Amino acid sequence: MRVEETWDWLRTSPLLWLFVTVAAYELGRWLRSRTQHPLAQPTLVAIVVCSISIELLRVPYADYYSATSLITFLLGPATVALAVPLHRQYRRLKDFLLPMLTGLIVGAVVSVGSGILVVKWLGGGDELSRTMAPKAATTPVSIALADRLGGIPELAAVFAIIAGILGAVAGPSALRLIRIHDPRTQGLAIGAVSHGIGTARMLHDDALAGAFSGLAMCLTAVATCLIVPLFAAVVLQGIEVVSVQVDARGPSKKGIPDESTWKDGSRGAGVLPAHLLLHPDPLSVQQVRNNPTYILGPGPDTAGLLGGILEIIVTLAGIVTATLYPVLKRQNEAAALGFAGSRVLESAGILAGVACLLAIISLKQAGAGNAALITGQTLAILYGRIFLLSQSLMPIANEVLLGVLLYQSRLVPRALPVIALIGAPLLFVSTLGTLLNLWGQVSWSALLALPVAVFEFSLGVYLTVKGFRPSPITSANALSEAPS
Amino acid sequence: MIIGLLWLLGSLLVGEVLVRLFDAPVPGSIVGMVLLFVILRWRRASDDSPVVRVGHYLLDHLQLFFVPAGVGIVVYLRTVRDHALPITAGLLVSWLLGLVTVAGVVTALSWRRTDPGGATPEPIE
Repeated sequence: MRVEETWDWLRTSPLLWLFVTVAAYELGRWLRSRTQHPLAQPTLVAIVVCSISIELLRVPYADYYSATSLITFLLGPATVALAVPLHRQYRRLKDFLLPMLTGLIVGAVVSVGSGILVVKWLGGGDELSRTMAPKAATTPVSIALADRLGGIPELAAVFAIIAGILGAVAGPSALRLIRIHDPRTQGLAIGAVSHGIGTARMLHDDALAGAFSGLAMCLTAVATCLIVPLFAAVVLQGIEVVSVQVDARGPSKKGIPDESTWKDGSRGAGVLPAHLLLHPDPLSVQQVRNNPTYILGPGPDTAGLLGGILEIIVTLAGIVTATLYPVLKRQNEAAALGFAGSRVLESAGILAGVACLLAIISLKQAGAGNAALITGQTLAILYGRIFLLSQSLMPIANEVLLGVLLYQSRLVPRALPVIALIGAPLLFVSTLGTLLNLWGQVSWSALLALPVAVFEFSLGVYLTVKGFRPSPITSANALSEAPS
Repeated sequence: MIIGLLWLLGSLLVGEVLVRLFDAPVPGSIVGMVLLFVILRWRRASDDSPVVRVGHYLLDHLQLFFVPAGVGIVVYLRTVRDHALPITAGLLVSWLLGLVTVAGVVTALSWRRTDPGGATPEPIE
């Protein structure tokens, strides 16, 4: 008997591990049908059984992995096969298309963004956040994305699978807890965060939920592919981008001792490029803000004053959009009131910022000299922080409320509020990143603020050129019928 | 069966080749999926066409294909233990936030259609 040789062959043979894996999976299926317990998910059972087996037999994971490469390979064709449910449910999906697309894109942004931020914030490091970023997408996608991003592909697969098992085990109960009972919504939410493993659970529970879950999984995979590289570049400083750098306009003369500390302060408030997008003439404001010795210099004040005036105009424009309230309240009074309130708060913040700016100019005009240098810089930093709160944080509430109201009322083409609803979480990530000092010197926060800027701009143009569309809530008799 | 498999493998093949040719930041299987979807719409594939049958079979056992990658956790147990807090919190928080966000946005934007009781007799449209 050649026990030893046979054993050596067996340990690394594909045959044994294919058999063990498929058998463990079958055991999981059997447990699921017997117990109906949420923990009895075939993937979970099979992973536990196979892990214990290779540990007991002291087989390296690499050997196990190459032995079972046939099974892993099938993930590719299986991902392609997701086109099949998409095709078959196409008709039922069309009605639901816009809420679904919006929800999935926003959801992908939220789960990618929060994954990166939480890991980074808790000290997980760069590589770990790159690995965490794509985990909502299905495993082959997260492996590929983590690989491209410089994360750990195998660990990304593990994260994705844990997220999947979470959804299969706890997803439906979590959704019932927040009173989501509609099977389509349930399917979309679970497919969006728990991909194939969650989808398999939904398919097992309810065919309709399963179809939507499969669809959500496909679309989330595509959305994650597009979003993750963007986020990686933004949050993880992967790529330098040509953008207006805060220090680009800084003092060119050497020998200014406090230059570096100054830069640190203004970097914290580095939402300036967002300002560029939202404002007509920020450069003039920058001249005041970014030159630490501005109040000593002989330069003209007109640019700074002009910037201040333009900011006041922006404030007034903000207040004017709050006058949409009488129309919007017919859709939903609470949301409309919230919108008007947050707009006013935003405008108040801008005015406070302008006051800081004007104070710097006043110091200069008064010839305060060296003694006022620190005060001037403090005012400039204060301006940056107020800017962050009033023009980055408040607009998130604005855009969400306005987006939902415009979407539901159909006062403008629905594409516009959809942009706002996608832009709001992006802006949130941008603001959060700035607050946590994650951006470094790369001003990608501007890019994250772009959708909101596009929305505000195109809404303004649309309302000026075309005005409101005919909608039940704009006609008088709709008032009596409108739901309270 | 074989014809269906050919369609799946063919789409995957073209997807992988395209991704490499254009150095696209998207995995080939996703490009293949979009490609197959376009083909299925275009050919108006019926429910009993081979590709639909094979596709369903593969998707029925989707959970199986994740197992070998999932067993990889044994290698990373150390990493996971060393960074237990960021990993656990990152996974849980972003999973839950994503779930609630999708459910919330979809519900908010489609409340008229999902309202089962029809509480509003003449919905705003």
